[in-house]
Amino acid sequence: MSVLQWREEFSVGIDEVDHEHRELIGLIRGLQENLGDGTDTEQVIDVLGEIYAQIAAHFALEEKMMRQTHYAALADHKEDHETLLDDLRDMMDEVEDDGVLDEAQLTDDLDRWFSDHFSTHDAKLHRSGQH
Amino acid sequence: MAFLKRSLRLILARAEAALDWSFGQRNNPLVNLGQLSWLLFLIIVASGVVLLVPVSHGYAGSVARGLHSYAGGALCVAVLLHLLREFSLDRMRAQRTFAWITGVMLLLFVSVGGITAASPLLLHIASPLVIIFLVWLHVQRRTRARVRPPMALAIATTTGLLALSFAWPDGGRQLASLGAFGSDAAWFVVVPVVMILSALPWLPPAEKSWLPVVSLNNCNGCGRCLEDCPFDAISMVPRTDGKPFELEASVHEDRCVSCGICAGSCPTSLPFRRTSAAIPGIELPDRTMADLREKTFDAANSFDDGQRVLVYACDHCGADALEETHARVVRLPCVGMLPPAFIDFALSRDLADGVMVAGCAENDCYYRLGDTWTNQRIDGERDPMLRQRVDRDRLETSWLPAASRKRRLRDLDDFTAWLEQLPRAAE
Repeated sequence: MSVLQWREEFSVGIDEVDHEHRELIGLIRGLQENLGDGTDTEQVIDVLGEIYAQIAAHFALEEKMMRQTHYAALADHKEDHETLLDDLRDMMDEVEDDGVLDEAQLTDDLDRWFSDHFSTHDAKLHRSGQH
Repeated sequence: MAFLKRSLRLILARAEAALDWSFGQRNNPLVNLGQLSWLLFLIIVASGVVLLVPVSHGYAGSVARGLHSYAGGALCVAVLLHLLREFSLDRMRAQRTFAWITGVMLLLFVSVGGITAASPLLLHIASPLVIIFLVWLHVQRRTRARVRPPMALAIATTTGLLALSFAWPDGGRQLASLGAFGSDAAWFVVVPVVMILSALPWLPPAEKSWLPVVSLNNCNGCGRCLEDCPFDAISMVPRTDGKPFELEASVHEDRCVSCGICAGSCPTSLPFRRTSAAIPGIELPDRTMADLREKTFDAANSFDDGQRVLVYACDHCGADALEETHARVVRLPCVGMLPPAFIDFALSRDLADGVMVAGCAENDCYYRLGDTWTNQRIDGERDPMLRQRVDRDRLETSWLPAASRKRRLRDLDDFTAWLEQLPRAAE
């Protein structure tokens, strides 16, 4: 089971974005580390809800920055954000509906989901143009 | 005062319902009084310019004069009605005082224009200049002020006035003398009226309302609340809590009307968080998101047999008509306070078979833009967007004036019947 860690290469060079990425990774990691036998499903749903709230705010801020810098691919990037939110909502629904937790699956999903956020033109955007 | 307000509101609501029936809600003159006044003003200016041209004699001249006077009379009525309607809805306090006072000043200068029609030309021509300035002031602090009337209404008004002027050009002058315009005595009516109207916002009974509270732990300064506030009551200010963000939201007490639209726009206003107090970046302290979530659960738990219709309704649209039905109603100050995630939440958690969002008549939202934002959020045109995967078949909006209780009930019945014939959601 891989546990998500903050790595220097995640840094996009903008304090507030890095700060939020760090917080998100912390939340995800906390969840992953606590997953195990007898994890309370309710608690997992809570933490997923918390992650959802943070990432929604994070995207909102990123989109504002993109608008301010007249970032050309804003529409595409925005769509990626909506897809990522959708995926997270699916994970939440799954946990909710099944009532049973597939920890390995969830851990992998979260890992993949977070790296997806980076592999979108996100990092590229932040490195390329603001300062 | 309260009685006067209530009676006026009732009378105007009846009139509005009747006009709805003949004009359609969009083109209802009573809903477009401000816009209509602006159009009439433009007609007056245009016909006035024609009258200044020395060749305006004979039939053409009297038609122009007729148009000038008819539109003038209509303008006085429209401005007065506009003021009475806003007064009846108590839309003149707090932030709205500014628009109210400039509105009363507009009534004054429209009257000046009328009274001086016969006498000194200089005053008569100066008044429109003041009016243009006042109109500009009047729509300040309004995001997306609606100034232009709907096309159909504009055409109908212009054609109507033109037809009247052609058919009976001299009627305008008689109308003017009927209104005692041109006589000094008119001042004795206008001045006291303006003084009384100016004082109204400070007279009781003022409704106590709470200002939204910013929670810095949940605000990263994304600015969505600023963009959605219809009253320009939010600004983004430099961060005060040492977090590495640049800005944070801040509320202007004197402009806020406590509609809660800021809370509805905040990306962290979500029903999904359970224990960890679901506090968004900004919300009304007396109507929190945690509270909205509780009420949603209470509603879901109290359904009878049959279709479970959950209604999110604003306080100003007469949706209490729905409270005696099979539906369960959760109230908000404005539907714009409803984060779309709540619709997603209610349907995905099977808390209801269908969700209805009930608000004021379209383009007549009590808080100006709540309906518009809600529609755009549902259509994925505005943040926060309703998730695309949410089954739109199980979502209905009902935009109606407060007086249309029967139509509101019909909307609910239609939606319920629609839900009944839908296949049960696959589990």
